[in-house]
Amino acid sequence: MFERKQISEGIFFNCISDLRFKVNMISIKFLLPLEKENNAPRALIFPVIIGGTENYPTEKDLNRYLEEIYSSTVSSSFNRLGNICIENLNAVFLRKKYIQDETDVETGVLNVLEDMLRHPVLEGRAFKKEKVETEKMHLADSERSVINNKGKYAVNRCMEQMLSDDDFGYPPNGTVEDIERTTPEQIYEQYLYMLEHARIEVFAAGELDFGKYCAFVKELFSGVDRKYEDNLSVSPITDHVRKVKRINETDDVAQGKMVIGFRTFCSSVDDYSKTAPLIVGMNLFGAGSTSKLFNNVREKMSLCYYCSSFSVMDKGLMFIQSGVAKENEKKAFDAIMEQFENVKKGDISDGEIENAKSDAVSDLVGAFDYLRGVISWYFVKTITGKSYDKELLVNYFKGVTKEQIVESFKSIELDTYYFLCGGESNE
Amino acid sequence: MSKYLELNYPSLDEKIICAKHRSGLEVRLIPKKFSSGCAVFGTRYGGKDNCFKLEGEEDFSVMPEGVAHYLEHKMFESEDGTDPFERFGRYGTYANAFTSSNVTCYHFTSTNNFLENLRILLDFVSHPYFTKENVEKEQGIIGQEIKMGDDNPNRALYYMLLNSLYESNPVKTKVVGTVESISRITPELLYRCYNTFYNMSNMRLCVSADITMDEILSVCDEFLEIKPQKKIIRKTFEEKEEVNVKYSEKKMSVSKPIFIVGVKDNFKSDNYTERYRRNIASNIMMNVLFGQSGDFYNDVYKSGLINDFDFDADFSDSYAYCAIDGKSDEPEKAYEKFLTCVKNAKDIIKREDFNRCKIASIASIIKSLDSVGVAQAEFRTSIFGTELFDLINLYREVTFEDVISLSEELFNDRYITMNVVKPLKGDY
Repeated sequence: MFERKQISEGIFFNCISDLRFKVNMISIKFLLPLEKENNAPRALIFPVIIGGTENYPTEKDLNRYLEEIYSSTVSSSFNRLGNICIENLNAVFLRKKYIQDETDVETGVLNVLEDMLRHPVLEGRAFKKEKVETEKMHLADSERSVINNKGKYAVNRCMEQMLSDDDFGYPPNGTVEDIERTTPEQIYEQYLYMLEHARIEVFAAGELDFGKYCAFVKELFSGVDRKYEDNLSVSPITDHVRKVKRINETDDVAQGKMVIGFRTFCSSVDDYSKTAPLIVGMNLFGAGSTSKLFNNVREKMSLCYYCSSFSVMDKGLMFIQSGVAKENEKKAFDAIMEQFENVKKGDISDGEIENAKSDAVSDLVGAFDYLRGVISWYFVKTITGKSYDKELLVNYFKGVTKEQIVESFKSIELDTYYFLCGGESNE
Repeated sequence: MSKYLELNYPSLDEKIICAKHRSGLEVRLIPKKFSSGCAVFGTRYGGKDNCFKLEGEEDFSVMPEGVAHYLEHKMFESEDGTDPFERFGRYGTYANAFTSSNVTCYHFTSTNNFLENLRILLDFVSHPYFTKENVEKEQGIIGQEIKMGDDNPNRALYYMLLNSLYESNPVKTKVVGTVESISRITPELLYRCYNTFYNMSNMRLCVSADITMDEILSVCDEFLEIKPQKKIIRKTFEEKEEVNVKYSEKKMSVSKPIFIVGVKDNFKSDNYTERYRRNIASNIMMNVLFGQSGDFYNDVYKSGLINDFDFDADFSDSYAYCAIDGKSDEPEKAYEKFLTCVKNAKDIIKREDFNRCKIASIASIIKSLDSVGVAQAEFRTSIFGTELFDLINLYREVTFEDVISLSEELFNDRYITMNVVKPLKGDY
């Protein structure tokens, strides 16, 4: 059961009662327009905050307490929904019936969350310098080490080139240089700005007392001088491709990493009547082991171990990624594009369409078997203004026709081709 | 009263229903009322099992490295040309397979028509079809899988660790093999391995779904034949007590050095539950010493000496080790810090910390039971004879004294090895 309540201007509480799980989950989400110059300080807010509060001054104190209350976890993440940046503070803890003694785990967790948001460790009007420097060092290191995962590195490089004029194409946590020059004062400013200006969506899922949580959320932000403006926009890409970009780079790799980026002109904000055919079409083209790419490029041509598509629906983008031998670069690219053209031409069997529809329905239904999936569904629908009824989308998937798939693929434009392979270094 | 053995765990709200199908297959069902259902059908046969014979045979067969994994790929071929993925695809079912050093598993997660999906699973895994053409076709695909692994510095580091720990233990064999070794694989070799290890007495089916054991067994009746049970003899090996190599390093394209320190555990027991008990004590010990509530973690995090720090205690029927890993500009300094910590382990491990880590470990397991994915976890434990939820009791039984004596036994210079992958460029 889903209930939503406005607590005050721009602050909402969303409650999902679901007794299938052994845990409860709370996710406090702060939404602001994406501004690339603020990526680094914003990415650092929660890592700094969850490393210590007035009551638990160090990370060690906090971790000890969380272990004591039955391995409860409080973690943060920083992600995006199109050009909306989202700061998440998440807690997961065991339900009362699975606790063998009288420990009040739920109250413990709520207190920690409140402590983190209202009583972080400060030095004047800034976060503690020592803690900030530690988090900057770890975040910068994690940015530098993207190169350790060549597949992910190739995807990032392709996306950066594709969206060079859009804040979404900028590194989500800022560049290493941005991170290194961020000051404790800037992070604190962004923290205050977030509390005052962000739209705040609090989700709680599991076995919950709605009234108690409403009161908690109200109290949590009671002292904040709110200046909320409703100015969030997902901003999918709507411009046509002017010139296809082709980028070849080298590194010390045994296997070439190919990434191909497309604009789809259909995104999460569009109606289900438009998104459902594209999702089904992308499934039959490149997602999973019944897709055209898997069956042809991998199974029939033995060119690769993986060749699959994934989408960034919020921006209206589709990507193909594959690991192929350097000498097969052209052959693999041609084979991928041939399958793409086949979908556009309507060279699709009824069986392929049925499989792709079943995949789409299964992915949707299966996501509801995880608390995280349930929260994600209600959150995205809230932001994109869609119906919460999943049966509605299931019916759209089931009704997709071949003509609709062809139509949605005809709009897709090749944007960027990226290939990373072994060879002489450019440096 | 159920006609099957029911193991009840009231404090967890869970139960396991156990049955043995007439083919000899042990079946486990963990009932769950989710939209999804999951089934795992697998064999105790992995990348390390390359030298074996059946009871009564004179000579051991020696297989090329990577054959178990190759066999897993080729099980998706059918004589009538139907593709299992295509068949699962009709129901939108996610199906996959994997091979580790110890096991090969075939599994699916479906949201509808569970029994039909189970039929497909049992059908294709019980009907091998290997020809010269279809075996050769896979060389390009697996060749690329091997190359993908070659670009992964963490995988390189993992095999460096195993090679440093073990001189002759076959667990150090690369599961995917090499481009050369897989070129020697033939349909005959695959049939030989299949007929040895895909015997129902060496396999297990674990299910987590809203379904009954009767329904599962009736699907088993359709596909699983009663064949003579055969005893598999894996060639034993002598492994020395001390590590094989004290230090190893390699250069790859990485941003800064990554390292792994391993501690060899020579514990021997044919009783898998005893091995689990040992592993659980190791886990709690590592948690107290290196977990996020301890000094080591907090020191190296704060100083930046180690990034992405992690620890592990792994084991199977023929090996066990503990390890810490991470990235560091000064891997030698990180190693020194580790040595100082473990040399003082007895003083560092306090009863209060032990108790807290034990409770937290049990709570973490309970938190992980919230999906039909428990079928995977049940497979990994029960194929070796321990039921998943019994682990919680094993955790409860471990004492402070067990952990102290384990730390005294394990942290000896002879059992410790350091392994580093360094960047191609820079002064490392």
